[in-house]
Amino acid sequence: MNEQINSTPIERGGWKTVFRMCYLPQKKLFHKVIVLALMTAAIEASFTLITKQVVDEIVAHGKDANLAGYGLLYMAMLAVLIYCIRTFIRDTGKLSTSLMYSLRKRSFEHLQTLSFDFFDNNAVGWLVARITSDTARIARIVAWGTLDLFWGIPMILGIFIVLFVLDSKLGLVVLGLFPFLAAVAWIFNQKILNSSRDLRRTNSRLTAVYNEGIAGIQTSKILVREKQNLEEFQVDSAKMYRQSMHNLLLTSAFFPFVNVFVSLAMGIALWLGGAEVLAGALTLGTLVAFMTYARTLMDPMLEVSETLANLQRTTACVERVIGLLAVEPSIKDSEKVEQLIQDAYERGAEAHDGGDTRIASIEFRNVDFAYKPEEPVLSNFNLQVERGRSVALVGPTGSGKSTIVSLLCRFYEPTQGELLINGIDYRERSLHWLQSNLGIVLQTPFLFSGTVKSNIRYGKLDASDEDVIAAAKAVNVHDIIMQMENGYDTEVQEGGSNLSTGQKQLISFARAIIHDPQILVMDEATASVDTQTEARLQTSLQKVLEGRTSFIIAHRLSTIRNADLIVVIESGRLIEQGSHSELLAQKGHYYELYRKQYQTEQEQELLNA
Amino acid sequence: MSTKSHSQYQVLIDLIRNKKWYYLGSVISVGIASYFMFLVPTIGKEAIDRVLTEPRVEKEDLVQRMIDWAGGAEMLANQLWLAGGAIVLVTIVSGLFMYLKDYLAASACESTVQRLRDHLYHHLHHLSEKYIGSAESGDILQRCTSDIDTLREFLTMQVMNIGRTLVLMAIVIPLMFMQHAGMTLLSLILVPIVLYYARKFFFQVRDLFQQVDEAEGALTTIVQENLTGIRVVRAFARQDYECEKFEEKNSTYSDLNYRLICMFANFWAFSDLLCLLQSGLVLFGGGWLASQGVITVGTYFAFIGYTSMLIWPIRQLGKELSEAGKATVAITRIQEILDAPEETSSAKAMHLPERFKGTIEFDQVSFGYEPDRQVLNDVSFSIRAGETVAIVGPTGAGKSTLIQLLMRLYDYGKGSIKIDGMELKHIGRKHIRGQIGTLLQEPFLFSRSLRENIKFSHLKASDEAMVLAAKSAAVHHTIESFQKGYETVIGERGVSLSGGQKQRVTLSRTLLKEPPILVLDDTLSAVDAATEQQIIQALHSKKGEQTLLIITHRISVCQKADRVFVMQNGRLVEQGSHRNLLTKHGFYRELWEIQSGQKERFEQDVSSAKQQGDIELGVT
Repeated sequence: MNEQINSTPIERGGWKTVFRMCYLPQKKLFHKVIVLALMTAAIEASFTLITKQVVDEIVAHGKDANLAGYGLLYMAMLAVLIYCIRTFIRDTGKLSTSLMYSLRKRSFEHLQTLSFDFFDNNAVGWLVARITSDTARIARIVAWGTLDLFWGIPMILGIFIVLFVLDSKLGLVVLGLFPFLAAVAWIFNQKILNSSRDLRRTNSRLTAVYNEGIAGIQTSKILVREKQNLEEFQVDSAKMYRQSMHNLLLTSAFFPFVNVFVSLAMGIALWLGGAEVLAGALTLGTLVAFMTYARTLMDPMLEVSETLANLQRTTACVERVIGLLAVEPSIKDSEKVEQLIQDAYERGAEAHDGGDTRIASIEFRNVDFAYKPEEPVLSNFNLQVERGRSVALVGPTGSGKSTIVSLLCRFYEPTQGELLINGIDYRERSLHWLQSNLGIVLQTPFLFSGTVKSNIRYGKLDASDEDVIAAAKAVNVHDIIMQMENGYDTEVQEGGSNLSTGQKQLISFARAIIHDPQILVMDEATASVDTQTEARLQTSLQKVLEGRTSFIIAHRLSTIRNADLIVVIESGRLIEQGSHSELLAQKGHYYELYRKQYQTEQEQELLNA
Repeated sequence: MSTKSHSQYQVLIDLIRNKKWYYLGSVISVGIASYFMFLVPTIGKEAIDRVLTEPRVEKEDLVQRMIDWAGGAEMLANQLWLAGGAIVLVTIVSGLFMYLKDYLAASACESTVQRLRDHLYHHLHHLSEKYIGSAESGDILQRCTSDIDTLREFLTMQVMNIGRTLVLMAIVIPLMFMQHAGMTLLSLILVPIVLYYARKFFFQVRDLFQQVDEAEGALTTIVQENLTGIRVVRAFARQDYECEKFEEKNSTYSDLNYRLICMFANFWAFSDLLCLLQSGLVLFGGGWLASQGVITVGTYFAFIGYTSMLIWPIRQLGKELSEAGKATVAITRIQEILDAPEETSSAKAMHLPERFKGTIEFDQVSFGYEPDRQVLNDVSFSIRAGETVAIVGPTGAGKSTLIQLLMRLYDYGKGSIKIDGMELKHIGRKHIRGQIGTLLQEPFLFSRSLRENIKFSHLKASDEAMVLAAKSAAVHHTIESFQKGYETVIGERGVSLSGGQKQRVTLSRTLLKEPPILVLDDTLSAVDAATEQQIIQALHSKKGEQTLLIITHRISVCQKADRVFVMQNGRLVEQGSHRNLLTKHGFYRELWEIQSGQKERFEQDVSSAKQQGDIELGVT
């Protein structure tokens, strides 16, 4: 249905890469599975030969027939076969599981290195599908496909050889039929797979229609559109009906078709072979063997054709996954920095890359930035901030405030100009060093599933319970947490759906504080919280900001007013800067913004009374 | 909805009963198909016994008469293609009946599912507001989609396969007995064990299956959360920690999955052993009987065929039976939705005018969503047709509730509401909703073109009318500025609109309806003041033709209204014209003071900041 955005390039010829990735580390297991598959094929193909011998023995010797020897042989073969089956299922399972494991691990770890421009252009749902379902399909088809092909093809060949040896003329006639069967099976498999894909597509379309229908129920009601809605839905559900029918009927036509082919082979064997039996040129056992083999051949035939069709289908998955792994991160440590990290590690330096640990000053020097080349967001932006100062960024939506902090966090890098930390371009320092000195609170707080405690601890993994409580107290959320059902051990559901936005915001604030960052970034952190939460944040903010360099994007006057430096931005340019009182005295942009906001806040107060 | 009590599987029972002839037809077809399948080894048997081996078996029966008719065994020996042809023919007939059975069963199942889908969709649109308000939409969606899929799978796979295997057994086993009772027993002796073992196994692994599913779900959650919260991850430089978390779930899933596969390895190996032992019993036991002359070689051949025809589907039966268990949960969940109450329809048949005039009268109306919490308290007012009324008040005062009652989304408890002098409860829901144009606070647009969205409630409207509506809502120029104009598709697959644009599109959708009563519930909150003025201006050009209720907090809107209602705590506390209300020192006057800048707190604030700044400067 909805084509989710993605810009990951597709990698052609991905199978070769996948083959190398799968086969090389697991050579032994692959070889074992192949040997087991061959043994199984050999035994299964030989069972019919025993039947032949038994029938011949009975016809030839009647009451004196001695079947004990064959019985023992049958049991012995059965034992080996069962051993093979059990072992190859386990080994192929191990192979498929470990392939899935390593493909997923690789792609997940690779994603962790990619930069934000990648995530801007690839929807989360799309990426999740690559890591979970594509990798699973690839692993399955590689492992079980190897088994099926190494079992099926030798078995078909083996049976052909046996038939040919038993009676070359009859053998040739029966064999002549099988290319047709193979062709029919191939065509059917293609059709079935195509129709299954259409069916899945229609099914997700139906889900989307339901989803929209449910979300828009009230709208439909007040516009009295129920009847037309149903009529439109029926068009989709009727399509689903037709496609499901088509899919089911294709599958049900397939097997009778195959059966007719098999019976044709059996019929011809009976006709030609029967005449030879009467003429004494063929034993009855051989005839029985021919008729049985015609049926036995069906299984490997179907299996091989299905595997080949699936293999073809999986190509798209392979190209997507390999394409994903081939994406290079656009922001990463340069080789020089990597060398520094290496040296620092050997030296046991305090900072990750051996440079300063303390951030004494930050400077934006002539910074330009654009997400897309033709749409500049920041131009010639200059700003200098000393350690311990708080900076409020003010300006209309889309003026570039968030971009400034994204650049500071090195989520993106300036397209022109430099960002200097302690006078050094931050591209000469390691990403890890900078980012581990940051604390960020975003407008829409994001919590992970787990407990409240584990979420706060995310900021400092080795924090003790006391540390966690201290951080919570520092941001005035301790008593809120204590009022929750299980206090700090309250489970946060996926997406934090059991907490209010205000609670989530305060917890994410605590998470940033426990991290004890040198730079604190608050990007509209108070925009979507209620007045009570706002008040709680305000009272703690002064204390928490002490000694840290902070960048605050906010609308609320109380937050802005207390900043050491207020920077007014419009269309990516800095137009005013100074303290609250200085800027008010200028009666410029800030004065206007402040006045409008003042009115809005007064109004809010009255309306929310 | 009727009040009769349902059995748990009522849906299923009703739907299957509707298609009973299809189901019966498919049972008969599969029976015939099974019989012909049975004939394949039987023909081989007769050919071997009566033609190919010496001495030839001769019995006075139907087969012998057929052979005599064809020219006798001697003749047949030269014409063996007849026997071969018979095998092919019988297979074709069996195949045709198998296909007929699939056709009947598939159309019965699929149309059952289709009807259920349509019914659910219809039902959803008639659920009471109360139910929709309290239910989670994700849950409803899941019941309508994945639970229906499970049911479909159950009908088309499990029911069909179980049915086929049972009918096959019912037809073939008696026929085998008719051929040779002893051989039949020998061929089936392990079958009950296979069935029992398969069933037991699949019930046993169900728990593990669920664990694997959950582990996979947990893994997906980790990936999902990591990608959604990627900013948080990067901001704390927690990539390594995230990898560890992923690693843990990844290996948990792998271990569980491998455990499941190992259990399957045991199952397939052991059940293969049982099945092949069964074949071996027939091969050697039957072989011995044949060598002793107890049975003919042909019979021996036939039973080898019968055994393999039966044993593999029976092994599969265990799996199908355990899968069927899953469906019961899905069916119960679907039934729960179907049992949810629909809005009651008013049974009072009275003559209703095609178009109302638009007078509204509230008389001592009280209402609460929950019985113990009143949202509206004894509200009375009357509005003339064509009057414009602005309603102001703080959040939670009950303004929106007024509208919900008027639209009959909820039904009022105490008091009376009259439209054009008729009691609202006696006017059909759809009828009254057709008379009132309103917009929800959260504008909702469907992911289709703008044209379809605006014409959503009035499909037959002309393009001129659509453009006029869009102009009145001050959105025409915006739409024209899009590359595809009114054909622009919006939503997930297309252009995303800003909040204000959405509000204006929904407004034009409502205006196109030209309702006698128009209600705007804080509809223009995301629209800037100038555009709002423009819209209000356009609406006022129709003054007198349309009763207009505007819930707002903008004084500029109230000034243009005939009357202003002020609501607080579920009561109508003030009403009158703008001028009138300004003389009272209430909520309205306070709002006016703030908006018109009458309150000089701001200047005070600024000058105090200045002083403070001066002090600071003085210090430095």
